[in-house]
Amino acid sequence: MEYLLHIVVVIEIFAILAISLDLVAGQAGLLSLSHAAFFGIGAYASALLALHGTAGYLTEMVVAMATAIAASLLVSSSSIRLHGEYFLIATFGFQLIVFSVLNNWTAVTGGPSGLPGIPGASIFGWQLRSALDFAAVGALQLAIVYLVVRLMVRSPFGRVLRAIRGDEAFAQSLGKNTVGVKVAAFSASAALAASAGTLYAFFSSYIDPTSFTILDSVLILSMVLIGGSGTLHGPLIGAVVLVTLPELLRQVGISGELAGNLRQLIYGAALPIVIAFRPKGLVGRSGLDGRFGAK
Amino acid sequence: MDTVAQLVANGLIAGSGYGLLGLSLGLIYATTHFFHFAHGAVYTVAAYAAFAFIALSGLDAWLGIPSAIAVAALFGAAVDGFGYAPLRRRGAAPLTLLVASLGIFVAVQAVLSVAFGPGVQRLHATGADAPVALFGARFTVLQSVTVALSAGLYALTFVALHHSRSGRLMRAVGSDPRLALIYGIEGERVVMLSFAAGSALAGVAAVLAAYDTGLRPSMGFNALLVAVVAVVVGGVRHPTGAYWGGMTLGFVQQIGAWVLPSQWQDVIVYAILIVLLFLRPASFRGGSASRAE
Amino acid sequence: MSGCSAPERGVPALRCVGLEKSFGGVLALADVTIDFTAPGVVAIIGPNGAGKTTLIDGISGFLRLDAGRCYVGGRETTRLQPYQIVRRGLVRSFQDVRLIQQESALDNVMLALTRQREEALLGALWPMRHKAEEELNVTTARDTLRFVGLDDNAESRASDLSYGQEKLLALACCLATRSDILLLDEPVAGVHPDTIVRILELLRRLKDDGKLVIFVEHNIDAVRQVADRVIVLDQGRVIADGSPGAVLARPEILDAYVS
Repeated sequence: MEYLLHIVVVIEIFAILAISLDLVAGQAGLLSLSHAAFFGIGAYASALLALHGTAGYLTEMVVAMATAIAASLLVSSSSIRLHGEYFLIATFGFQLIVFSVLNNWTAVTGGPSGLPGIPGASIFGWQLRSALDFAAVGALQLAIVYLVVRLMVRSPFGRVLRAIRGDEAFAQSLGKNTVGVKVAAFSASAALAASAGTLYAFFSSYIDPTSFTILDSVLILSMVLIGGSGTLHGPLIGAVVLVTLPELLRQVGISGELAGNLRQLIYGAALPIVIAFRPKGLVGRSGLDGRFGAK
Repeated sequence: MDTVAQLVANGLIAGSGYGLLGLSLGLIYATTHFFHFAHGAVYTVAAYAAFAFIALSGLDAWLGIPSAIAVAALFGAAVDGFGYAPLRRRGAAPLTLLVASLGIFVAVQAVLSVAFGPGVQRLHATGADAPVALFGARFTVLQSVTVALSAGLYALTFVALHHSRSGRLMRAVGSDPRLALIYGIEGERVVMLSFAAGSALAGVAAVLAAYDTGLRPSMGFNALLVAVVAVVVGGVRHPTGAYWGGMTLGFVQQIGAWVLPSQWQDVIVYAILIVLLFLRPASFRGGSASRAE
Repeated sequence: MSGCSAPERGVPALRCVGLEKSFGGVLALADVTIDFTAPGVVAIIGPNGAGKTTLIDGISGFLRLDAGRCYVGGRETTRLQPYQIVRRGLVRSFQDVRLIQQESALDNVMLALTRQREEALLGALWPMRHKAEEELNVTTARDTLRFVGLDDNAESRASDLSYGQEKLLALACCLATRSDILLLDEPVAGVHPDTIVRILELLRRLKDDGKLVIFVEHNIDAVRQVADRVIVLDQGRVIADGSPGAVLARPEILDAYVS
């Protein structure tokens, strides 16, 4: 039971990550490889605050989100105007750099050893202790993220995002400040990723840089693309599939290490295949370039 | 790190390695205008091939290294032939090709991790670590080989691009991709050749790195970032410019290492990338219609 | 959205002064100076490569000019971003029809219609606040589609429309921005003659509504039917500017267009 709840929490974390990435990658067509970096920034910000200050879950989350927004502005201020490929490269660089900083700035982040012993958190007096507690909080968080992203997608703001993916110049010709909109969406996406970081930090009570690598960014992107972008349940399903996959492999007797690599092989190989044969992913509404169905 | 001579030496050594990486990706980029992310996988495959041939199978380095480079060239060409070409034929947008490239990279890395384990492996060559002192700077034999080899390969590539038919074809196709269609089969062969040549150069860089700092499955990512930055710095139009891009990167990074604490060294690489992307609006900025009548 | 307050008497709706643009040694615009007053329908004609689309790109902010200034309603717009110029009351269409292909005609017009404050990210989290405005916008959008004759196609995806319908939709989107100045790049090129008639009629009605329509065209017949002023551009220079009767009668102008 404990084991199952553990998996549920991990699913919730990655579902939040995938849905928040879909806001920019799926809706606006802004592919990003720095999502794990924002996840990590959120986790480390929360952990550091808990270790050196107070241990209130909500406070930690707010700080985590604010830090991630600031970091995202660093990226977007310099890179948001770039063509899609170059923006992807800029986020790729940012991801590698964030990992490098987390891994090398031992004085602050603990370096490769990470931050152990993160104190327990509480929400308005409710002490978060058991896996069940976290599964419940995670469910609530996921529901809120789902709702927030859904509201954004269905609003006039969402319409502008999709227009940016469809034809940015056209959107500009209709009076849309596409740069401002992209920056806003990217910041929101980073903040939501950071909120997942808070959940992760307190749930694990120990974090190290190996959870926030470029491979994790690719994994999250795969959840969005394989699950299917353009809808909200696409990334959700992608998260469920890719989180449970190694667990299922473990049930069949494959070791944890091998299971992880096998999953990586599967989603890595799945990316070009999905792009070639099923751009909509499993349940998505549109491919990366906004087209319906394989061209 | 006491003297200017040492700083220059370090810069030259790092720059030569980065320059070679830049050149390898630059060749491919110049012909295809595509950031071939799976280049990182080719790099890693080359390193592990050398390891498999030399350390595991006991092959002599004189045989093992060229074999590893050949494997890299074949693998790189295969990625294009079996990975990208089918997607191009289906009309995939450049951005989606990038994602596919990423997928290939990640999948290959997983296979290597399973085959060789996640830890660091080492390749040893006797005498490679022997110290050399020159003009007050200290470095190793391997590092001087890196500098010499890198410079030599650059010269060779430069000459080949300007004085061989294939090279001229490569430059022509690079300057106008539509020419590839006009050249038909020849155009496709040129693309494949650039993948093979670029991958071979990456193979050399990878083998050198394997002897220098060892191998790990993730070594391709940072190599890829360096290669990408070198291409961006060196001018996306000239494959050989990426060599100088890498050289610049190496020097700037070493100067940075002198003044900044170690955790920020990679930040320099990123900062250079960002500054350049920022300063080259014409090539990289999107989102607005630019029309000339 | 139409940020330009009622223009003062005597101030031209659109003024271009000394516009210049070269592309790698080729001069696309050379010292172009024109005043436009509203209402009106002005045609800009000229041979290919004369600089017509460059002029539109330059005025609408999609191209940075080498020299010269533009003024909309008396206020300078030279260095502004395209979206800022739209908010000042000037909208343009594209020679290759641009639309959001995956969205419906209605959604395309809605995109054009919604105002900046309704599109704020945080506003999305309070759907109730803008509900009334959104519903009003839907009505206005349908009215706009009816004005151009596309009300039956409101729910059709843009990619499913015929070329002529796409042009009408693009025009509807321009109208939806509530701009008083419309810069149209070849609004009737490549469409069925019946659609040409419809579009020209719409342009006349826009003038009656007080708007300034400036359009680039190769179709001299269309120009004759609807323009009250013709400007001829050749190799980046204005070589003629006057009423259609006067300008189109000149032999050298006609020569350039033997059709």
